[in-house]
Amino acid sequence: MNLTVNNTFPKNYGYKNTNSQPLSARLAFTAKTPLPDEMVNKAMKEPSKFFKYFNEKYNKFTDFIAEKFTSKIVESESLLKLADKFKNSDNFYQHCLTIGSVITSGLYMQRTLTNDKLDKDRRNTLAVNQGLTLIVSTIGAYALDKYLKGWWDNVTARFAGHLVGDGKFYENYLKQKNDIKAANKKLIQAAKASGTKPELKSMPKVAKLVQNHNYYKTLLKTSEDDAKILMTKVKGMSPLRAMIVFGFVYRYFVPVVVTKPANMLCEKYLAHKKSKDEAAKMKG
Amino acid sequence: MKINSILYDTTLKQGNIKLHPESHNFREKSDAGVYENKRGYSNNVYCGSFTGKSKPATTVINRNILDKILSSNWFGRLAKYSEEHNISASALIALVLAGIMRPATILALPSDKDKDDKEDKIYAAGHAIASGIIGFAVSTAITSPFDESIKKIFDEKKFRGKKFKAIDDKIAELTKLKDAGKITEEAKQTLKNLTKRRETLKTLVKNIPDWVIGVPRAILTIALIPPILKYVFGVEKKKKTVPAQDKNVNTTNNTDTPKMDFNDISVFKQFNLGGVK
Repeated sequence: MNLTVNNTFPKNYGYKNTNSQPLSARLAFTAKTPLPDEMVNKAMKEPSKFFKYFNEKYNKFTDFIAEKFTSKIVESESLLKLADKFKNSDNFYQHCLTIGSVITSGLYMQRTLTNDKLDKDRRNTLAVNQGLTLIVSTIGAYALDKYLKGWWDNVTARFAGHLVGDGKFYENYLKQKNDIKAANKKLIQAAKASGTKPELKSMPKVAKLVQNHNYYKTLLKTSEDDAKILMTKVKGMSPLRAMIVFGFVYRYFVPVVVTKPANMLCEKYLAHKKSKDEAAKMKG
Repeated sequence: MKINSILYDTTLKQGNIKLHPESHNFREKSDAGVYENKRGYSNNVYCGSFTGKSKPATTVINRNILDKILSSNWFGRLAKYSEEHNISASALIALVLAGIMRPATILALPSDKDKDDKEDKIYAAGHAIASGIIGFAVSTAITSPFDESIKKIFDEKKFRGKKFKAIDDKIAELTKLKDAGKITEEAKQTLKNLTKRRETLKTLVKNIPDWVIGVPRAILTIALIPPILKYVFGVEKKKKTVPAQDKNVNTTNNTDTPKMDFNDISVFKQFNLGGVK
């Protein structure tokens, strides 16, 4: 192995203290490897025998699932119909998240209703409380998601600009967006005057802009896998927004902010009902 | 470098002043876009704030923070993970929110004046962390093989059934026509609809496992939280004390009369050890 140490002073020695520079800047190492680079790279990319064994087993297992379960689910008529019905929905992933929450909350409500330790009045009131909290928080999550969509699209465009290495991608996206906004405003005004329904232009989609970008087109020709990864990252921004918003509402805002006042209201209602019942008994 | 111009600019903390173009505050000859007029005194007024008037400073700083996050490797990986593993990524976000933010907020909130609920708070925080961890671990372990199988069918186009293959074939046929520029307006709309239908189907299939495991996961979480809290975090739920009202009822029939054993009280314990020093 040849080792070369670069101990020459930098040109600006008189101006700057060399000790403040990192060691890597002051020392330059050159070493000759006994193996050709290709062999080293290949060895680094290949997994070890231990991982290779597990990877193969896992791969066979996922093949089995794909063949016996997933492909059959994909083929089912009801799912194909459902996909056809919701194909134009902008909030389809949000609906999926809501269904998941309804199932979990439904289980908790059912447990409350069948809890023997609580009296009937308390059980019913608590279950209604849980149900109302779910409804209000779901409406809040959808509203927050819609409110943040425009800003998040801008963030996505900025992210895509980094991925395609284009400093002007974001500015171009904003320009297109503003142009469409202005055009839509004119269309609405014209429609108001004529009393017809305006056919508004849709906002530019970041994924589509990336698809039409030269960098992506070149990448698709040179390395299809890398192009797919890039597109997956861009597409992943939309579910990421929904995950953050719905997660924030269901897992943070509701337990920290909503639950306590909702329980207090519940207790007040129960106390009021109890006193009313007692008063009725006294009269009777 | 433009950033240095801002770093060395003490005027940001000193209110409104008029800047001299060759001010000593700036070590570099290039400015941060503050000077438009190089000769004589500049007409620009530096407001000393990062918002509003000092536009160059605001843009540079805002861009740096957001761009640093967006250009980082971890953010790219998170975006990719969110698309490929919907359920697991959602559980990961929930883990951050319920496992870090929620406990931090619970512990940071002030206690009720008349109650000593410190232990309740610690229990609630531990509960949130444990539920976040269990949710993420269970979701990832169960749904990852399903996500991989979905990838094989939708991306690698293996193990496709007749109906799904027919959709893919139609999309490929219409895409060829589109690339050749021979596509009609009607066919273009069909291609759009089929692509959207395929994407929706993918999202739907990816999220079905979440609904299927929803109930068992919740039951498992309820069952696992107490042992995790006890053996991992060392926290146990306090047994509720009997309300004061109930204590007064039927005192004559109360067989568990409290013992007046002063040796159990910490102050008196010291007498047993040889008195207070």
